[in-house]
Amino acid sequence: MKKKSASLLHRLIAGLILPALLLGLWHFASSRSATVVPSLGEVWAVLAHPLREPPNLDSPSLFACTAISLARVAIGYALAVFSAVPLGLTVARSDAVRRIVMPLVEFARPICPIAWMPLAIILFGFSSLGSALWGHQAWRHDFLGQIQFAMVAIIWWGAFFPILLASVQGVEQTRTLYLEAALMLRATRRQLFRHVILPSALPSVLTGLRVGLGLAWMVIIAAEIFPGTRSGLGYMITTSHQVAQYEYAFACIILIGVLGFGMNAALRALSLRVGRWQAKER
Amino acid sequence: MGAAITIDNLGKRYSADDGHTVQAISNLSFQCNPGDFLCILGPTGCGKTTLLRLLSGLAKPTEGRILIDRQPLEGIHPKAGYVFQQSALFPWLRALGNVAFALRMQGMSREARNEQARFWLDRVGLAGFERAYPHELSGGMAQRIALARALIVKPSLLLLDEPFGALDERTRHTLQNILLDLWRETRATIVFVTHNVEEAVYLGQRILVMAPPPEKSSEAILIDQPHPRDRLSEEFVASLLQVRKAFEKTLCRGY
Repeated sequence: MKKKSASLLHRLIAGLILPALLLGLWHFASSRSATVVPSLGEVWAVLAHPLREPPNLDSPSLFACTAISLARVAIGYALAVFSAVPLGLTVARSDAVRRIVMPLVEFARPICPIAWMPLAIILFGFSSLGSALWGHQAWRHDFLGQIQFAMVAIIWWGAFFPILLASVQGVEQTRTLYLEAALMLRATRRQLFRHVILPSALPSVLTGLRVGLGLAWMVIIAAEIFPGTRSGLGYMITTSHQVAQYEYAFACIILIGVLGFGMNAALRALSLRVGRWQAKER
Repeated sequence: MGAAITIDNLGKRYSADDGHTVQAISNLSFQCNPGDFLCILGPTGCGKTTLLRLLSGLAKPTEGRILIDRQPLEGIHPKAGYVFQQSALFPWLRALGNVAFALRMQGMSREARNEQARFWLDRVGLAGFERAYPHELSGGMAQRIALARALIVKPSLLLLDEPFGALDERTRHTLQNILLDLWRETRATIVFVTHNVEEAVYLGQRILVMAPPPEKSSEAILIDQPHPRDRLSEEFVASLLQVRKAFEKTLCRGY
């Protein structure tokens, strides 16, 4: 049973209580030890000028780092979606495929994506979308040159499993009652899949997409800490640490949180729209 | 025109995973003429639902055979409609989409099928509820939509599995009358499963009282009264008593 939803203003105020407390704590800490904890003003100065190249940091601007991190996630995540959803639907519908695929999946699933980073670098080296498309002319296309396949592979790994498992589960949860009802309404096998199994699995698939995107966003930051990277939010955090310019790290962390929040909210709005029927079905 | 049903020595055995078998139906024979309204009455666990599943083709008999219009039943019967015990409406489709579902499967255009679906929604008294989702409807409304959804393909055989079992009495009476009207119009053969004696006597031309195996099911009881029936008339009450006696016998033997 869902309680009566509070007004938007109420929810906004309630949601801002803890962040406000944190800001207060932060302000207090920075006034005590200004060398380690940057002040609110310093961090704000970084966030307010996203296009400015950091003067004493070997890094592109905050905006460029955000764009490159987002691009890496977008490509790795898209690969994960377009591989995990079809595989999940196949696994759920074929016992043979399930018996072949699932043992390996269960074995591979708990392996942290970051654990693959060294192997991914061996496999893909520093090849990137840019170098694949333009070879040694890649320096002309610096942005695409920054999308290293090693990182894309890591993100794919991080997002793949939750999407796969949610898709399998969504199909498996299709109620026999609905399948039989559709059979009695003259649906063919193919139509059963398209008109009963897919729509009934959709809410679960969308949940998987949300979890997967959250993981992809988490993994990219860690992947960008690896040596050889020259851009990205994770890279900016590492370099700011190296030269003790912590305001950049703080700004990045805040931005990561805000963007993750936005991605989750967007996907949730989508799944509420698509799964409107499910919201009150209990 | 309705379908003729012949059931000959029908039996159905289920095997559980542990090798244990359950005899759901044994040695059942009866006939049903085109356009008949047959009620199957019996206590829980006597195989009523199994019988409907066999008649629809969703399940296959282990013994005996089913003839529909003199043809052995193979797979899902192409002219059978089914109304399930619980609401089996697709929760992701609105009322209109649910009713139009079968026509959509046939590849009919959206306008044509929606027009027919609106007609059938109107026939079950739900005009104006096209855009409602199943979870927004009461149990009675949901079963009306289930009825419209089954009838849109003009079935010659309509199978109903305790469709009004979960409804309050007044709603149930309304839906019984709607069903009788639709039966009169479509002349479909109806097989209606219920555990409610009064409902069986109000609706059925013939009532088959089923008993759990190994007991033998009784002969069908004829209720020779025109519709609409008066629940308070003496002959209705007399039939009620007659059927209730047969029904009680199956209960006593079982327990």
